[in-house]
Amino acid sequence: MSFVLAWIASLFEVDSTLAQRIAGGDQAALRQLYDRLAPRVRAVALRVLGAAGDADDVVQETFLDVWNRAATFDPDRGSLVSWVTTIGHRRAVDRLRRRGTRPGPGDAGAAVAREPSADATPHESAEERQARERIVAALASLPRDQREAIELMYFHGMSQREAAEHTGAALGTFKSRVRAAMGRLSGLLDELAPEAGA
Amino acid sequence: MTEAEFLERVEVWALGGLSDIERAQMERYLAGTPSPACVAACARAFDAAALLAASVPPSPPPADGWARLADGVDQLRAGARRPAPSRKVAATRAWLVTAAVAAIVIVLLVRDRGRHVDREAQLAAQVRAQQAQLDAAQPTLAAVASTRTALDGCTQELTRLQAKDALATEAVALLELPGTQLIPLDRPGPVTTPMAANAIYHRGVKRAYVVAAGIPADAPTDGYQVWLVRGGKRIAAGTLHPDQGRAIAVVPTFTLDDGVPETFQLALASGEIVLESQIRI
Repeated sequence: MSFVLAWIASLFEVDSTLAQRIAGGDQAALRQLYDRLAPRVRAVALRVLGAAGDADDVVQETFLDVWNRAATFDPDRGSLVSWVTTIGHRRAVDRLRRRGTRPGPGDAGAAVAREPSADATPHESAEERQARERIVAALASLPRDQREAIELMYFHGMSQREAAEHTGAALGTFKSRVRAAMGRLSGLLDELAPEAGA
Repeated sequence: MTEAEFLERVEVWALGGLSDIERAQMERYLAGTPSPACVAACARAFDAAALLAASVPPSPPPADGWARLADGVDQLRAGARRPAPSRKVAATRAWLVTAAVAAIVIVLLVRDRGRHVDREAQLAAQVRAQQAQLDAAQPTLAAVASTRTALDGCTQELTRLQAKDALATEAVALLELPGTQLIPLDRPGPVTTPMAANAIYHRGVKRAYVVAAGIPADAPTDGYQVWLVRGGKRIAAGTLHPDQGRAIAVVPTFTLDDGVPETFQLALASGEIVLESQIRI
């Protein structure tokens, strides 16, 4: 299992000098980052937007953003992986919000109806698949209301207030669910961290 | 924003659940001198949110994905004002029409500068001639008043053209700066007239110009209101007065403390939105 944990940890230990090289105009470094993270960014965008064309546009915009803003990356404020993923996620959510589409009131539970899939794809190595299984298992272990809370915001582009209204929960209750869920995810990071570099 | 407020919102921020105004507030707070606790909380929150992304099976981009990106990078390197064009569906034709009209507008602006210079020279000569006439005219009250009126009219038109020329000059200069965005404004519904407008915007300069072309001859005499939309609220940002089918307006300087503007709108006095940008800045 140590190689799995090391791989997951490596997601957050991607060489931050890549950002420096990209900021210096090194296109090969951008290619390296693109090859590594474009499938992940595209996957998130596809999950948020549901359309391949839009997802491809988000990938394009994300990495052009990375090219333009690489000098602003601060490793103290998160890993390079989470920085790039966040840029892509934001662009996807912004595009979704401009569309104005949201799950309807009758879709309560739609956010969790689609269980996270640990099925293997031909585009990831065995180690990557096992790492993803670990994350999927952690998410599946969350109480339903906690998982719904974070997925409504992350994958459905809802604001906190919209998501709370969608679930019928008071805002304070909803915030507590989010805090608890993110606490569990942070705990997963702590589990992975001691194995970094093993 | 206080540290407690930042810490309360940071996880929701990482999940994408804040409004644009709240997101801008968080970014401004972080850009200041945040405490180590805030910096650490930010890192943990975004790394934790990234696990959600890692839970989704990866989806490789199309085979030409890198080539498209490399083209975009090359254009940025060459000092292009916009990244490589993205794919559009349905609204592509309207966008291309708008972009073509925008290019024509810019050319006309530059060309009009030359014409205005000629027109200004003409008017300046008329002003001198009329001043000379005034001096030489027999000092009857009616003659003085008539000539003074003509002089004032020419002076006003000269001032107006000089102001318009200055705006056009500024707009063209801004276009030449790296990082300037050319933001097309689209008609919300089907394209029925060739009227088009673009916003020329540079974040660092914090100044924008709205240029419109193809304005119909029966356009309202009081022009078009330019709005900036921020957080769903409209803020008045100048007016466009058509002149031979074209118009340019400067959007007043704004500060990020008021929130980052989201879209540009052109509206009639009645409030009907005529054109609106789909690209947010």
